[in-house]
Amino acid sequence: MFWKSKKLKKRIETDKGMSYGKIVFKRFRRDSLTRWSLRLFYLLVFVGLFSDFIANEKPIYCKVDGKTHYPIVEDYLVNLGLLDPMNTLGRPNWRTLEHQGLVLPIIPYSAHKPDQKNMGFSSPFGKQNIESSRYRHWLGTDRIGRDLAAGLVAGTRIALAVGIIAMGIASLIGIVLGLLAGYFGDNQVRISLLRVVLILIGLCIGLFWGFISRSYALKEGALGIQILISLGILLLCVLGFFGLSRLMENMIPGMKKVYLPFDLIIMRMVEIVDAMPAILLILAATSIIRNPSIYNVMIIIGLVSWTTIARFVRAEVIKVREQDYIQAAKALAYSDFRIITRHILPNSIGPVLIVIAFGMAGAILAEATISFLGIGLDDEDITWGYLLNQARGQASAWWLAIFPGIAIFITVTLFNLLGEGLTKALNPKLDT
Amino acid sequence: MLQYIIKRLLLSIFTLWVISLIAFGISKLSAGDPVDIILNKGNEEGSLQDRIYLISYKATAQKFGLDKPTFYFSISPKAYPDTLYRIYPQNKRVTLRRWVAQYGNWPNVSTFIQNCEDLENNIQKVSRLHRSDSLIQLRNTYSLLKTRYKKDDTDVLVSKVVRQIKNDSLLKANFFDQGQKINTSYQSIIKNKDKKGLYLPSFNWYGFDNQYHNWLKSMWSGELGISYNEQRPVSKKLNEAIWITIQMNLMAISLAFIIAIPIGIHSARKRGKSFDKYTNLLLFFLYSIPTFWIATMALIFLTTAEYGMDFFPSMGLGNVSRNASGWEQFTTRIEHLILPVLCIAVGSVAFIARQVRGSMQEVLQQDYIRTARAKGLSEGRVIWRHAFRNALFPLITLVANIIPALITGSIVIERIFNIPGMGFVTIEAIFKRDWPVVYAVLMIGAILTVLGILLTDILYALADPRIKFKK
Repeated sequence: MFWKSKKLKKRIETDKGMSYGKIVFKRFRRDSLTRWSLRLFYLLVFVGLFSDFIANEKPIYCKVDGKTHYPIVEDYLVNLGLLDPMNTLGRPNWRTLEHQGLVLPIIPYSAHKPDQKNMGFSSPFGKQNIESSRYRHWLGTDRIGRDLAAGLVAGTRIALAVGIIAMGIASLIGIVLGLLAGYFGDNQVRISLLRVVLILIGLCIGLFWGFISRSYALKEGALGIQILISLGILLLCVLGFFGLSRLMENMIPGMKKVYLPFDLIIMRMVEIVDAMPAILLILAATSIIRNPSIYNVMIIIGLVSWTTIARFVRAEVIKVREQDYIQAAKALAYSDFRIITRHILPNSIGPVLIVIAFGMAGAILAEATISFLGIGLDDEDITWGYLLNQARGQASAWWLAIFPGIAIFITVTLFNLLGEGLTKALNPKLDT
Repeated sequence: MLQYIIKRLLLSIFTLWVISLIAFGISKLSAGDPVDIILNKGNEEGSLQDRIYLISYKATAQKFGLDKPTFYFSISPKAYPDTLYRIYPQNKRVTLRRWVAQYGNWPNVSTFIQNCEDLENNIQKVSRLHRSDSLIQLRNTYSLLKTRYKKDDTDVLVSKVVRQIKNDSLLKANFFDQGQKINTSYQSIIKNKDKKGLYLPSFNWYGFDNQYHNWLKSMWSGELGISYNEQRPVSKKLNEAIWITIQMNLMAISLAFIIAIPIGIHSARKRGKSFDKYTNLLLFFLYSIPTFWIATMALIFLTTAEYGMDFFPSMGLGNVSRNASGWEQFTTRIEHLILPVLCIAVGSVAFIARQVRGSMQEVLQQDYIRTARAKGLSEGRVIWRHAFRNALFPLITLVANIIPALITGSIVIERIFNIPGMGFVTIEAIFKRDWPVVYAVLMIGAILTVLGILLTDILYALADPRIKFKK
C-alpha cells in the first residue's frame, strides 16, 4: 500500500493548479485504449467533415480552357447561393473532360454515382474495367457499380450526423427533464390551485390557437418561421394566463395551494417511453415520414432515446442538490434558474457525458440497423447499414459484407470505449 | 406487500393505456389513406371520379370501421363542421379541411364543392352523347379543382372552367348556368372570408362507437386489430410467428446464460489477472459487434457454397413433409435454428457475462466470503453456495430485459435468416404498410416490458426481506 500512496501523492502534485476538466481529461488519456479511440475519433470526424474532398468524382482542382476551377468548393458555393452556376463547369463528364491540370480526390468516385463499366459486383482483387490503377475500386463495387470505398466515406458523415443529431435531441430533452425532475422533486414547488388550472387552460388555448387554428399556415407556409410564430402564440397564451393568475391571487388571498409533482410526472413519462421496445417504436414511427430521408430517422431516434439521459441527470442532480454550496446559493436568494444553470448543471454534467457517449454508440447502431432493413431511406442516402444489406443478395460479394460491417463495428466500439474511458476518468475510485 | 403489488399493477395499466394512445396516435398519423392501402390502390388523382372506386371505398371503410370518428371527442375550430369525418375518401376530406382552414366559411365551401360535383354528375350523363376535346379538357380541369386548394391554383382553375364551358357550344347550352354557379360560389368563398370561426374552439362528443374504442376492444379481446393486407385478425397472423420467435429466443437466452455465467464468475475470481483483462476486452468487443453484421457474415460464409464452407442450411425453417417423423421435424428445425440462435446469443453473452463479473466481484470482497473460506469450505462451495447466490441478486434486473426480448430480441435476425417469426412479420408489414400489425406488435412488446418490470420489482421484494415498499 505504501508504494501506491506515493504514486497517488505524485499524481496529486502534478495535478496541482489544473482545472477539474483538465484533470479528468488527463486521467481520460492515461488509458492507451482510450487514447487510441480518441485519435480514431478525430480521424472519423475529419473524414466526415471532408468526405466530399476524399471521395468525389469531381476533381478538387482542375484547369480548363486556361481557367482554374475548384469544382467541389464551387458546388458548396452554388448551394449556398454565393456563386452563379454559370461560372462553374456545370456537369461535364469528368472522366473525358479536356483539361490542362487536374487533382482528383483520393477516391475518384462519388458514393451514389454508379460506374457503368464496373457493374455487377467487381471484386477488389479481380479484374476491373478501368483506365489506370488510379481509378481502381480498391474495395470493389456493388450491383450497379457504385464504389464501396466512396460509400464508406459518405457513410462516415451520416454515422457521425446520427450521433450528433440524435444525441443532440436526446440530450436536450433528457437534460432539461432530468434537471426539472431532480431539482424540483415532488414537494419543492408549491403554487395555488388556481394558477395550475389557469396555466393549463392557457396551455390548451395556446396549443389550439398556435397549432390547430393555424394548421393551414403551418402546412403551406415556410415551415421554420410558421412554427416559430405558433410557438410564440403558445408562449404568449401561457404567459398571459400566468399573469392573470397572479392578478387574481392578489385579489383573492388565502387560495388553496398544491405541490407540483415534477418528479412523478417526468418519471412516469420516462417509464412510458421505456416500456415501448425502442427498435419497434422507431420502426413504427418511421411510418409517419412522408418523404423518406435518413435525417428523419435520426430525429426519431433522438426523440426515442432521451430516457436514459433523463434518468442519469435526475440521479446526479438529486446528489448535487443536497450539497452545502447549493444550500449556500439558496441562502443567498439566488433564483432557481441561476442555481440550476450555474451550480447544478456544471456539477452534474460529467457523468452525463458517459451516458451520451454510450448513447452515441447506441444511436449509430440503431440507425445502421434501420438502414440495414432498408426502412426510411432516400435513394441518395448511402449508409453503412444500406451497404451491408446489399451483401445479403449476393453471397460472392464478400467485400460488401466485411468492410461496412467493420466500419460500423469500429465506430460503435469507439464510442463504447470512449464511454468506458470517461467512466474511469470520472470515478477515480474504480481504478486501484 | 399485496398493497404494493396492487399499486404497481394499477400504475402499469395506466402506462399501457398511455402507450395505447401513443400507438393509436402514430397509426393515425402514418402516411397513406388506410382504405387505399386495403384496396391496394395508389393516390393517383384520377381515382377520385371513379364511381366504382367510391362505392368500394365506402364498403371497405365500413367493414374496417374506418368511417367512424377517430376518438371519443374532438376539439376543433368552430369553422369546421362536426360531421367532417363522414366525408370520404380521405383525399377529399383533407382538401376540404384545407379549404376551411384557409377561408373559414364552411357553408360557402360546401356549396362550392357541391356545385363542382353537380357539374361532374351532369357531365357524366352527357358524355355518352357528346365527345369532344373541350369536354375532356373540362373534365381534367374540374377534377384538378377538387384536389387543389391554394388560391393561385384555384383562381386559374375556376376561370378555366368558366372559359371552357363558354368556348364549346354544346357545353355552353347545357352547363352555362352551372359554370356561373361555380364561379359565383367561388367568389363568395373568397369575399366572405371569415377567419373568426377558426379561433373559436368547439367540442364534439362522438360517443363510444369510435375507432380508438373499437381498436382497444379488439386488443382486449385478443384479436389485436385487423390486418389491412390479409383482412383477418392480426392475432391469427401472429399466432404461428410468436411461437417460433419465443422458441428461438428462449434457446438463445438459455445458451447465453450457460456460456456467460461461468465466464463471468471465473473472470471475477481472477480479478486483475491476465485472464480477466483479456476476457474483459474480448467481451467488450463482442458487446459492440452489431448482431446483424455477424448474422450477415454467417449467412454469406457459412450457408453458401461460394467459399467452400456450406455447413448450414441457408434460409427459413426448412420444408418437412407432413408425414415425417417427429424426430426428423425436430432435427430439421434445430438445424435451421443453430445459426440464428448463435447470432442472437453472441451479444447477450457479452452483456450477461459483464453483469455477472461485476456483481461477483463485489460479492467476493464481502466479509462473509472470507468467513466461509476461513471455515475451511471447499472453493466450489464458497463460489457457488455463498458467492454466486448472492451475486444473482443484482441479476434480477435482467429479468426485466429478458421477457420483452423473447419477442423483440430477434427482429433483425429473423429478417436476415428468413425465419417467419414476429420480427419477420413486423418488417413485412412495414413494407406493405400494414400498420395494424406493427402497432399490435408494439403493444405486445410494451405489455411484456411492463410485465417484466413488474416481475422484477416483485422478485426483488421476495428475494430481499430488507426491501420494504411504501404503500
